[in-house]
Amino acid sequence: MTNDEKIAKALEQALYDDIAEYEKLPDHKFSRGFNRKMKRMFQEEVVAESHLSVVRRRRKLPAAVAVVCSVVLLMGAAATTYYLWNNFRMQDRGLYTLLNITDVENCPKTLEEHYRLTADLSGFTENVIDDDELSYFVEYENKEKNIKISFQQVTKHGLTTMLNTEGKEPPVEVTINSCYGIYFESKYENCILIWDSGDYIINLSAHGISKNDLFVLAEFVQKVE
Amino acid sequence: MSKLSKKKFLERLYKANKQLMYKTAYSLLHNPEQAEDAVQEAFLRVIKNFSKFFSFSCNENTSYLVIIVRGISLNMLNAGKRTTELLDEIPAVDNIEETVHSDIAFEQIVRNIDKLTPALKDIATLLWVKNFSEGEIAELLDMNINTVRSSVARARKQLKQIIAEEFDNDK
Repeated sequence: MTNDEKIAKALEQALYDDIAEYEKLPDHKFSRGFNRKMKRMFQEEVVAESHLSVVRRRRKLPAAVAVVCSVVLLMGAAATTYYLWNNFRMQDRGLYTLLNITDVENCPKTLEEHYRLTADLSGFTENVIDDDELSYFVEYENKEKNIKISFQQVTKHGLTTMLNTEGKEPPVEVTINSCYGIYFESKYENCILIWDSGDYIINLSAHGISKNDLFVLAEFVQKVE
Repeated sequence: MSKLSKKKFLERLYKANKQLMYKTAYSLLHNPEQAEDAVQEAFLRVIKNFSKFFSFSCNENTSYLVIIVRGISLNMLNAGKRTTELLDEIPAVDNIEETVHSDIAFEQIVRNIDKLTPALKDIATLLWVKNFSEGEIAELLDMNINTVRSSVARARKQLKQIIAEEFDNDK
């Protein structure tokens, strides 16, 4: 065995020794909220992937057709640059912007009221991805017209959201349906609105429509019985 | 790959490795919240390098996840006190054996490998054990490629010293 091979083997052994040491530590109890964040992160990554395929298909079609909306709601981690707007606390982390919601003490921990996108979506298929006490997340798709819309309502508690701003401008403050919110464009060319409806956070995003059209679409987000 | 299989793969990877990743991070950070942050950050890297992870075996994935979360934890630990590395200070040595001609016992190398800093050890492992390119390491560890290159040069230099010292001790 050459010295190089011995070093490679020693490095590998050192790594396995380290792993064995780490494994001796007591197990950690991950909170339900953390596991939920991770689950949502994986889910949203899948959603992001579908955005890309939509973009590729759209390029082959006549220009008239597309309104593609989807949600980019992910979770993030440690801090670099903070900025606090209203109760939206954000950290610009280069590849993404991490969003936390502050002042959640008096907000419900589960979805007790329900918001929906009430626009006329006939001709769209509906795919409910999340529908539990913490999150409602739905995608609408019209394959013929190559249109995709996503909408999400989540509780504020434990919400940590990764805004996919890689290579894009940071979010800007906006008012949506008289509520405070932010607007940004994601890496996948989606226009995204996230706003505080009072007790919940609403997320609506679009691909292939203008910022103004997205705001019009947002007016159709209403509380339902 | 279908959307579902990608999601399932990520969920399985998380389920299988989250404890070890947390423990790795916690052993460095000694802070539960930061350790959880590191785990989360590590999975963002996985997502970014998904195709690689999908092609690795389970054991390989575990090794890479530990290396990634360790790198993230070290970065978190060192945040704010890092100084710019001077790349020119360390001349690159292409082959560790070029200047060392003796046969050193494997046990001697194992005994001394921990003299490398954890960050250098991980980069060296990816380069020489897992055969990653410098570009791939930069992507996986979210580092500037010049930083990777300087780290590789530093690792080579330190390993050369380790071997030389062992050789001197043997004489």
